[in-house]
This record gives sequence, C-alpha cells and structure tokens, in this order.
Amino acid sequence: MIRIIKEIYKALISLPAGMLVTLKYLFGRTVTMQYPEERWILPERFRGRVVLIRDEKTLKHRCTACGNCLRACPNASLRLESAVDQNKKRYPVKFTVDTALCLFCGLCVDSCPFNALKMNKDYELAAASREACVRSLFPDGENDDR
Amino acid sequence: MNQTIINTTEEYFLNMGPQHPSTHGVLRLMLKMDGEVVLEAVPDLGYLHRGFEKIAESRTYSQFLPFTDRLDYVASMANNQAYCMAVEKLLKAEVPPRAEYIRVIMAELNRIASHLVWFGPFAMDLGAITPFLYAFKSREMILDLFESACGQRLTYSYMKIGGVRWDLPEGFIEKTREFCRYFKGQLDDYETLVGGNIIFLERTRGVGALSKEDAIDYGCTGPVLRATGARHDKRKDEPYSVYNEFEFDIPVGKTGDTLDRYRVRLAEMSESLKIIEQALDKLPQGEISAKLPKLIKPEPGEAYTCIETPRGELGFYIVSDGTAKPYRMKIRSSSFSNLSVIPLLCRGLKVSDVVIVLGSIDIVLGDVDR
Ligand code: SF4
Ligand code: SF4
Repeated sequence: MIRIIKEIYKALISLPAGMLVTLKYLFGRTVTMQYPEERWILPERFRGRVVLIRDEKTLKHRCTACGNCLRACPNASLRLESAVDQNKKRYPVKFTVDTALCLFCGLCVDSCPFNALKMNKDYELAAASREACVRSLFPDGENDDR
Repeated sequence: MNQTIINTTEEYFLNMGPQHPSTHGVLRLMLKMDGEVVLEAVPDLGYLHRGFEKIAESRTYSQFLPFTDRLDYVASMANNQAYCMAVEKLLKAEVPPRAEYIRVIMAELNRIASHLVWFGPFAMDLGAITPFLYAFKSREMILDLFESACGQRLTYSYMKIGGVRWDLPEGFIEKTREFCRYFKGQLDDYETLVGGNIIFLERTRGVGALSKEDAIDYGCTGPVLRATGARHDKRKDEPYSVYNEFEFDIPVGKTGDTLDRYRVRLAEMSESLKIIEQALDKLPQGEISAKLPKLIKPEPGEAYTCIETPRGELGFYIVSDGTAKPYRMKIRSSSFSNLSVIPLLCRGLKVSDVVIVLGSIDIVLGDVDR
C-alpha cells in the first residue's frame, strides 16, 4: 500500500518536472530557420556541386583535360570530351558531372594536378529528370568557347 | 459443437514494415501472433542491400572511402576510421599523433550525435515527441562542427588513409568546448524529461531483458552487450588509436532490459564528452597525414581491424593481392549481429513492446544490409 502511494507521488512529481523543462525552452531563442526565406551561411569547406575554377585574372579555367579526376572518381560521375587547340594544347569541350551519381566526396578535387576543380556552394540540386541531373562543370554552365 | 468453435483461436501473421516508422529504416518483421502476444518474430533483411563488399573489389583503396560513409550513415566518422585503420595495417603505415587525436575527437562527437539520433526517435516510439526536438537541436550543433571541418553533414569522408584530409578549421576547438559545456546541461534536461518520467520507466523496466550469456552467444556488441553487465569495450580492451591516453569509464547495466540500454547510452554520452575535452587539451601540433604514395598498393596479405562504433564492434577484413584494389573485403557490422537477438527478445511481448525493444537495440539498416 505504501509502495503504491510512493509510486503515485513520484508520478505526480515527475510529470510537472518534465513540463518545467519544456516551459524553460518556450521562452528561449527560436532555433528553427524559415527556409527558403532565410538561408544558412555555408562554411568555407562546404562540398556542393563540382565546378571548374575560373581564374580571376584571365577569366579562363585551368583544366588541361588530363583525365586524372575521371580516374579518381569512385562512381564514374564525370564525363569529359576534349579537343586540341592551335597551340596543340588539350582543352575540355564538354565536361559534365552527373549529380545523381556523384557522392560529393571531393576525390576529384584532390586529384587534379592543376588545381582546376572546386566544389561550390550549390546544394539545391533536385531535378525533375535524370537528364537534368547532368550538369556542366563550366562555371557559367556553357561549353568552352575557345 | 458450439462450444468448440468459441474456444478455438487461431494464430496469425502480422507484417510490420518495411514501410513502418518504428522499424527505423526498411526492416520487415514478420510476427506470428496469438491474439496480442508475439509468438515468434522473424526479421526480413536486405531491402537496403547495395553490395558494398563486392563494390570494394572494383574500387581502389582510396576510392572505397566514400562508400564507407554509407554503411552506418548515422556514424560515418567511425566507419571512415575503421576502414582507414584496416588499410593502414595492411600498409604498416604510421598515422601522425595530431591526426589520431583529431580522429578521436571526431569519432566521439559522432558517438554523441549517433546516440542522439537514437534517443529522440526512441522517446518518440514511446509517444513522447518533445525529446526528439531537443535531441536533434543538439545534434545539429555537432553537425555544424562537422560541416565546418569537412563540408558535409552526413557523409563526411573526413578521414583518409594515413590521417585526415583537412586540419581542424579556425575556431573549431573553441566551438567544440562551447558545445561540451552546453551539452552537459542538456543531458540533465533529457534525464528530467525522459529518464525520470514515470510512464517511461514503467514502459521500459524489465521489457526485453537479455542475459549476459545470451548476448555473448548471439554476438551482440556495444551498448546492447554492456547493458547486460559485460564490461566489454574495444576502446578499453584493445585500445586502438590513442584511446589509452584518456581517462574514461565504461558504463554498464545490470539486467540488460530496455531501461538499462537507455541508461548505458546516456552515460556513454557524458563519457564521450570527457574524452573530447581531454583530447582538446592534449591536441598536439604537427602533420595531419602520413606520406603515402598516390596510388595505394599494399603488399599481398590480409588485415583485420575493429573499432568501437556507437553501435558496437565494426570490423573490416581486407585481403590484398598486391594490386591497387582489394581482393576481398568483409565488413563485420554491429547492427547485424545486434539485430539477431530480436527473435529471442520479442517472444511473448505485445506488439507495442516490440516497437520499443527494436528501438532500444538501435539498428541502422544501412549497416545491417550493407
Ligand atoms: S579538372 Fe584537373 S584532373 Fe580533371 S581533367 Fe582537368 S586538369 Fe585534369
Ligand atoms: S565528388 Fe566524388 S563522386 Fe563526385 S565527381 Fe568528384 S570524385 Fe566523383
């Protein structure tokens, strides 16, 4: 009998104690974010979509179409078509990443000997079809205009 | 005649999952029921099978790393670490001390994050929604730390063979310390909200009790094993990385029931905080990665390493034939062996108790199916 009374007493104490915790947070700062009106400030190292780096001065990318990144990619998400220009230098004509296959691992960026790749801060990559998942690596989304 | 009809009952099958919120993923449980009582529970696996062991045979050693993120996706850091350690053992490579410390900090932060992912939904299985929100609020802070260090919130690929890929970013140490301070208060709140709640105690005490012998027979590891009273933790028993330099306890339970599993996990979170704080104090300067060739080709041979992930022992067994790709890789995952006690634990329970026993085992289907 005493045990039961004790139990009931404990129950009566424990429930308001939990509610007090909730009450404490009721008057605290809001932590949720009203996406998409509010946006998260992404950190420096954020790994979004893979793109070619455009050089600030020359406004050109540094890719020589060597294919190292393609060999480093664990899921074969990169596709490269290259050509040779007047100076007998190879350059990429069409360079795409299939975001549906990409693991966002950054191994391609690490493997590039010319430091031509980076991962940008684009994370809204949902697309309505598989074809639309294939994105160009050129920063403006166009093909190389050489 | 009429009498016999009234007295006859029939056993029936109840299908739980694979699309069921309480199976935490895509697990299907086939329950043989007698009225409301479970006679037999048979887990049906494989809905998330991606064949990672086979995929490993066609990837180079560095290329397989991002796939390990997707095994136990709630604790990717631990998967990264176990895999890297196995390859380093094959290569007989030395990892610089700073890298080891960073790995420990990350793995322990990930342990807290992983236990929080368990804690919230587990309380939700019992009908309490509020703890879920608080757990995820704290977890978001850990994920912010990870994101600042490696750029991802779930599939980190932060470690690499021989060390870690990036050094700690600016402000990481201060922010982690701040988190540790904040999280201690949170743990008290969790205890008041859930651990002291009479409904929670009544629902979990004595439910799904597992004996020490059974736990060992079934190959259970991690908190499931420790809740039964067995003091077994790879971090203490066979210290890997730099765990022998820290002081921490291994929390154990007594009866191995659902309540004990809850208590062990909560206590583990505060032990992890201790480890993180010590590691931040002792963090040495220096290199973050060993010098290794770009294309990794280990000598022919084999290696097995195992570590203590939030769910228990995770082992990688790799056979090398001297080429750039593993000849065979076997992944010993903790969730898989922990799941194997479900038929034993669920016998004689009611359906609503099956939900909480399953929740208390804490499986991740990515880890079970691989
Ligand atoms: S991005 Fe770099 S690695 Fe890839 S083809 Fe161009 S230069 Fe080579
Ligand atoms: S991020 Fe990884 S998966 Fe994606 S293209 Fe680069 S190497 Fe391939």
